[in-house]
Amino acid sequence: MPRRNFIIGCVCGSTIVLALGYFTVRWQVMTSAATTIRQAELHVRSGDHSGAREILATLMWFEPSHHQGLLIRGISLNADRMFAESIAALEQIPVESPSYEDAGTTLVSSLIHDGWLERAEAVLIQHLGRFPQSAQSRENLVRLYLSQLRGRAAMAVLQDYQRAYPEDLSVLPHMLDLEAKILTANDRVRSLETADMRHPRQAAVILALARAYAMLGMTEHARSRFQAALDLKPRDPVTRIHAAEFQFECGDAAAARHLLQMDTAAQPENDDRYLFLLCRMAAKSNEIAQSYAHLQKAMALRPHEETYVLMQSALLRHMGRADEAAAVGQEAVHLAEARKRLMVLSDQLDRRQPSAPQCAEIAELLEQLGHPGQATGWRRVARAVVP
Amino acid sequence: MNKVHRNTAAALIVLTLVSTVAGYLYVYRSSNASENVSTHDAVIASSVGPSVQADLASPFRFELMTPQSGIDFVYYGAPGPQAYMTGQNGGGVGVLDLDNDGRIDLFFVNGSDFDQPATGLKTSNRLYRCTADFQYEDVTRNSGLMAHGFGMGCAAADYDNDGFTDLFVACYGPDRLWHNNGDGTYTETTVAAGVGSDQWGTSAAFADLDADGFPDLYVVNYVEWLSDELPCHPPGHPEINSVCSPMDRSGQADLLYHNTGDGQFAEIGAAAGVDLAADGKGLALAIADFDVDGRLDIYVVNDTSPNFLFHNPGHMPFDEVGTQQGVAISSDGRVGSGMGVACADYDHNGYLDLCVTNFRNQINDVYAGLGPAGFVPANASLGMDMISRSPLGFGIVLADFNLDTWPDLFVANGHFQDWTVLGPEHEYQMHPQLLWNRNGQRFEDVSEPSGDYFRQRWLGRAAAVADLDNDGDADLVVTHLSATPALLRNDSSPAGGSIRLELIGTRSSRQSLGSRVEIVSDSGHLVTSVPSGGSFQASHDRRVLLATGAAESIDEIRVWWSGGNVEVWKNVTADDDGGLRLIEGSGNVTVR
Repeated sequence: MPRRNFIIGCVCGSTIVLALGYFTVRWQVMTSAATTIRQAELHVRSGDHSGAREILATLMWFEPSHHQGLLIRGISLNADRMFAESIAALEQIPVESPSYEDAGTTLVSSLIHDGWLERAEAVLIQHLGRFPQSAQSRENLVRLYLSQLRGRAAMAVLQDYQRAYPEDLSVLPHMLDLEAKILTANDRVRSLETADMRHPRQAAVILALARAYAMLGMTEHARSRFQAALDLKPRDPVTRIHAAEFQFECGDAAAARHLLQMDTAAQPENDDRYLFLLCRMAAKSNEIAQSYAHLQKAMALRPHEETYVLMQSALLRHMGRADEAAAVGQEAVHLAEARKRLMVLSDQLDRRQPSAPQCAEIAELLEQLGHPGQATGWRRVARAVVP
Repeated sequence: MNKVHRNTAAALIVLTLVSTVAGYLYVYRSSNASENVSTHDAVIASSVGPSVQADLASPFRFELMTPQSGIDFVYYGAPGPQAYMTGQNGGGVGVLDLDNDGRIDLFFVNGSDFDQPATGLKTSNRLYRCTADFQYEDVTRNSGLMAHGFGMGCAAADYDNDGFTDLFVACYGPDRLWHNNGDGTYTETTVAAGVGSDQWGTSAAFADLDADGFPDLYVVNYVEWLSDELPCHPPGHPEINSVCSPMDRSGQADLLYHNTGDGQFAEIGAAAGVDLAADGKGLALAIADFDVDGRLDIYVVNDTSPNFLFHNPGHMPFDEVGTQQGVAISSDGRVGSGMGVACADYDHNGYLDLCVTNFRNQINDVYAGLGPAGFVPANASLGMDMISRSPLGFGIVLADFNLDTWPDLFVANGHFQDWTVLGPEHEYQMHPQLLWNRNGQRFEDVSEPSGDYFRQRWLGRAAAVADLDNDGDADLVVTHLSATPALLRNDSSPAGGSIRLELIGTRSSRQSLGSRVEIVSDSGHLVTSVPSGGSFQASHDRRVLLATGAAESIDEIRVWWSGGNVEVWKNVTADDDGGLRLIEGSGNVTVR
C-alpha cells in the first residue's frame, strides 16, 4: 500500500512538474514571440529561409495558429519553392487577421506556382474585395487572367478599379497594354499544361487550354479540352459559347447550335460573344437579315468592337446597301488604324516620363476606340506632365 | 466463448456492417455519378461531335524533287548578326518558258549582304533551264541574267509582245529589267526602259491596265530603311539583334509604269493615284478583274498598313476602294501585316476571291468576292482562323491540286526573326500548310499526310504554281530563306481531268495576263484568271489549268481578254499533250 502511494505520488508529482515546466516554457515562448518573429523576419530578409523556420519551430509547436508565425513560415516556404507547405501554412490565416493582407499575396504566389490557378483566382478576388487598392493583387489577378487568355476579365479588373478610384492614374498604362497587345496562345500553353497536370479538373484551366489549342490550330487537342471543360461545367454559358465558337469554326454548325441552347437563367443574350456567334452562324447560312439583327444586339453591348463594325460593313454590302457599307467600312478602318497607332505608342511610351503629346494622342485614340474613361485619365496625365 | 473471442466477433460484425454500408454508399454514389456523366456525355457527344480532322486522309501527295533536279540555288543574304531588314524577305521565284520549248524554266532572285556583297555565280540571280521532267541545267552564266544586288520579287512577262518572256526584278536599290532575246539569252534594258527605281521594291506584276495592247508594270514598294540604321531588339532583350518592324516606318509609294509600246515605260503612279506613299508598305499584289467590269483592277497587300484595292474605271486615276470593298483590313478588325496574296474563285460563286497571309498571331484572311458588290470576310466559317493564327505566312497559292474543281490552298510559312533562344514558343522555321477546299465550305489542313516536305519545318518565302512536268496538274516551287527551293511534284490522284490553257492575245497584249476565264463543263461554271502577280515575290505559270471533271471536253470557254473583248469558244478539247491555245479572234466575239 505505501509502495503504491509512493508511485501515485511520484506520477502526480512528475505530472505537476511537467505541466509546470510546459506552461513555464510556453509562457516564455509566448512572451518572447515578438522577438522570435522579428528574428525570423530578419532571417527571411537575409535570404536564410530555413533558418527562419528553425527559429519559428518552437513558437509554432506551442502555437500552431500563430498568424505572424504562419505568415513568415509561408513566405519562407514559398521562397524555398515548397509551395504545398507554404499554402498549408498561409491558408490557416483567417481573413480577419492583420497578417492576411501579406499572407494573401504570398498564398497566391504559392498557389500559382503549385498549379492551383482556380484557387489562386478565388483568393485574389477575396483579397481584392478586402483590400481593393492592393496593386499587387490587382496585377496578379490581371496576369492570372491573361495567362488564361481571359483578356476581358483582365480588363474588367482594371476598369472596376478605375471606376472606384478615378484619381489613381497608375492603372492606365496597364490598361493601355491590354488595349494594344494581342493575346497570344503559344506562350501560355506550357504553364497551363503544367497546372493541369498537377491539379486536373480545374475548369478554368481546361477551358483556357482548349482556347489556346484552338488558337494554335491544334484542333484535336482543343476538342478534347473543350469536352473536358463541358464535362466539368456543362451549364456554364461562357464555356458553352467558347465551345460553340470552336465547333462553328470547325464547320459543325449543328453542334455549335446545340451548345448555344442554354437555360434562360444563363442570360446569354447579355453576352455579345454569344450574339456575335449567332450573327456569324446566320451569315454562314446566308440568313443575312437575321445575322444583321444579331449583330445589332451585339453592337448594342459593345458598339466599338472592331470585328463587329467590320462585320456590319460586310453584312450591309451583302444586303446591297453599298453606301452604308462603305461608310461603316471606313469607320472600321479608322478603328483599326487607331488600334495600330495605339500599339506603336504603347511600345514607345516611357512609363516613367511620358510626354504630354503622347498622352494626349493616346487619349484621343482611346476616345475613338470607345473608352472615354481611359481617355479622361490620359488627358489628366497629359496635363500633369511637366512640359 | 471467452471475453476475447466475444470482443473479436463483435468487432468483426461491426466491421462487416461498416464495410457493407460504406460499399453501398460508394456504389450508390458511383452509379449516380456515372449516370450524370452518361447524361453529360450524351449531350456533349452530340455537341462536340466526331473529330473533323481525326484520321483525315489527304487527297494530295507531293514529292520533293529538288535533290535530283540539279537546282542548287540558296538565297544569299539571310539575316545575320546585324539583322539587316533586307534579309527578311528572301528571294522570289519566276516560272517561265524562256525559250518557248514547252518546258517550264525557273528563275530565282538572289539577295546580297551589306558587309560581304554578293559576287560570283552562287550569289547571283539564277536561271535554270528545264531539260526533262524535273531536270534543270544552270544557264545563268551565259544567259545575261547574272547579276548581284538586293533582289526581292520578280515578274515574268512578255512586255514587248515579241513572243518571249522577259524578266523584271524588284530590288532594294535599283530595280532591273531584262529583255528576252529569243535565243536563250537576255539583255538588260533597265535604263532604256526607264524602270530602274532605287526604292525598295518587293513584288511586281505586268498587266495591260489601259487595254492598249501592251502590258504595263506595277511595282510594289515597301518602307524607308537604310543599312546604317541600328538593328532593333526583342522586348527586354537588348542583347539580341533583330530585324526592325515596318510598323513605325514610312511607307514608299508604289510605282505604275505605263508601257508606251516602244520598249519604254513612263512612270504614272501619281496620275494613276497609286502613289499613296505613307500608307503603303507593300509586299505583294494581284491583278485581275475583280468586279467583272471588263477592266483589270489591282490589289496590293501592305505590311502593317491597310491593303489597297485600286479599281480601274477605264481612265486615270484609279479609285482606291479597299475600305469600301471590304479588303483593307483583316477580318479580326485589325490592320494586318499582309505578306502574300492569292486569287481564285474558291466558292464557285462566279467571282474571284482573295486570300491574304498575315503575320504570326494574326489570321490569314479570306475575302469572299461578291463581284461588283465587293468582298466579305469568310475566314472563320472556313476554319481559316484556327489554321492560320499560329504560323507566319508568306507565299500563298490557290490552285486546284486534285482537280476536283475546288481551288485548294498552299501557304509557305516561316518567321523572319530567330528568337528561338528566348524559348520554344518562338518558332523560326515552320511547317508549310496544304489546305483542302471542301466544296467551298471549309479549308481543312491536310499538310502532314501530304508528303515529307510538309512534315518538315522551313523558312518558307515565295511560292509559285506551275505544271512543271506538263502532266496536267499543279506543281509548286517554294523558296526558302536558308535552303534550296522546294520543287514539289504533284502526285495526287486527280478527281477529274484538266486542260492546260494558254491565251495568245492579238489585239490584247500577247500573254493577256489578268484575263478572266470562265468555263462551262460537266463540273459546272468555273471562273479563274490568267495569273498576274499573286503569292509573295513570285511569278506563276501563265498557263491556266482548267479542271474538266469526268468530261474530255469543255462545253464553253469564255475569255474576257485584257484588251476588252469577250470571246467564246464552244465544245473545246485539249491537244494530245493536254494543252489548249486560244488565239484572240479565233472564237466568237460576243460582247465588248
